Amino acid sequence: MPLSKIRANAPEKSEDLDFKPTGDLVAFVTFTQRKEGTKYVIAGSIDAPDKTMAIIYAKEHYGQDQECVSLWLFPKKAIAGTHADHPTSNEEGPVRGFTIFSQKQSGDLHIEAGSVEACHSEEALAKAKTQLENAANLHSIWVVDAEYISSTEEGEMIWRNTDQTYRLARGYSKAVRTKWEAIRAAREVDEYQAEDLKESF
Amino acid sequence: MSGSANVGVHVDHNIQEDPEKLAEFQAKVDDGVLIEVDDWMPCAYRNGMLRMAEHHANSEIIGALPEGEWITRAPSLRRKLALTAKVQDEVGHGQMLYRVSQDLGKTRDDMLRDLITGKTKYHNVFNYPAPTWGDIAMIQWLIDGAAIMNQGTLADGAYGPYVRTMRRINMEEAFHYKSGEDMVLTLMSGTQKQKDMCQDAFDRWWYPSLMFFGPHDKPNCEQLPPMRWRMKTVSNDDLRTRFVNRFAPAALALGLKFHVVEKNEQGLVTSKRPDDKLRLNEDTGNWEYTEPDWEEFFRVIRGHGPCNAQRLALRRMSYEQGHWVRKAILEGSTLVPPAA
Repeated sequence: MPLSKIRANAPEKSEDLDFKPTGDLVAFVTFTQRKEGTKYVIAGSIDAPDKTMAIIYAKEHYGQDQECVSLWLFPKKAIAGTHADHPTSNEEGPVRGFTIFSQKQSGDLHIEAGSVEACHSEEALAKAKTQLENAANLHSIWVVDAEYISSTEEGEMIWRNTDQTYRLARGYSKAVRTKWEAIRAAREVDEYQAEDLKESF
Repeated sequence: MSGSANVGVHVDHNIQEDPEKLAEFQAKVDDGVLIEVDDWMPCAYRNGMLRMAEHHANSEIIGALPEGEWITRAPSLRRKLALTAKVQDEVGHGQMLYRVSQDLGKTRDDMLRDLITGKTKYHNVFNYPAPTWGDIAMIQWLIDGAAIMNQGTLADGAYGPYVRTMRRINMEEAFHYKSGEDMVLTLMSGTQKQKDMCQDAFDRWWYPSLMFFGPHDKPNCEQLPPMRWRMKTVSNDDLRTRFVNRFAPAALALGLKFHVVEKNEQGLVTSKRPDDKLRLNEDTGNWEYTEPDWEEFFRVIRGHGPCNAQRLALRRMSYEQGHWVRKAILEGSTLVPPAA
């Protein structure tokens, strides 16, 4: 009983698809800043064809589920760090800025942790390790060539300032409570009246 | 809005894992250390987590279909905004869970293709119809309520990337559930017609919501890989009991009645009788009820539910129609879009 004609007429097919897989888009990692002056914290990943589209997607996806004022984003491949899936390189280039992100324990969120200057990611990681307090106890350290980090513009609106209570649990708390109170109170009165002294009316 | 209660983990006994590494892995899990994607993990664990995250992702995007259909028919602007946001959330959850699965070694495109050609599954609960607005209210109250209970325990699991995603998803599920509760309360404090619509939807969704948690557990479920490796942390039956203990008294307080129902092939109720087994057992503190029809459960899993074919047809149509867009993006090809 679909409600639209297009849905009602979607053909039911059982044969294999007649075109080949196209493969995946580029994976980008997104960090959000919840309030001015606070550290950027990892929000999650987004798949997009390029960084321009990635920013648009990330603003819509990670910028709308929690209040946030700014957003960083870089290709997952740009991460170099302490773990096997993010190898560092010692291929020398110009001295440039690397942004550091650290994760305290496995399972924790990666958080922005300063920056270093280096000519390759191996050097950047070594410097990050000396710069970070407790580096030995951190579960993981990422260094990302700042050139690959895109961000939203300063003052750019991400979290919309229209009334968004319709998409937050707290937007319903009061209405739900009032309705429960009315329903439960009505039931109590109904039960009381059911045993009322009807014969005397 | 889903759970992964139906996914089994198949241990391939031909793969010989290094016993030392396996013991080390088990010790980490037992100590509550979270596993990250580049940590050593048994082959069955990697495959099992991939299956679980992929199944969950599939469920999120298929689950958006019946609700998406109602956006244009929402009874008020606020409900329309909320439902649009909810459907957007669900597709976003799919995106995040496909990412977790991609990192475990399968491309998103392959997962989308396997879904629409029936090689992989999605949650059973999305094979039931939503013929009225009352169903949209019930889905958000009961099914999202069940999903929060399930995902709350999954967020206590051992696989770091999945756990982080569950935490993020649960923040949004809270809104889905609360707005569902508000919708049910609104209908049940309305006119007789609204109350009847709500009761009919409740009759359609009560049993699918009990089956949501999956079949009865095997007697030694705590010793089997899914729980031993904390892929899931609470058994299906325990979750179901918690759910009924929370929702049965709430439904009664709302004035809803519990029925044992028979349904036709379209998933619509053809006959019903009061559930005379429904009662609070004072000794155990748990609610008792008439068991769901488990034959129906397995029939729907095998693809013979009321809406299986319809859901896959719609997903496949949108995948096929989007092919030229993906090609243009990925290969810079300028295929002409198919005529509308």
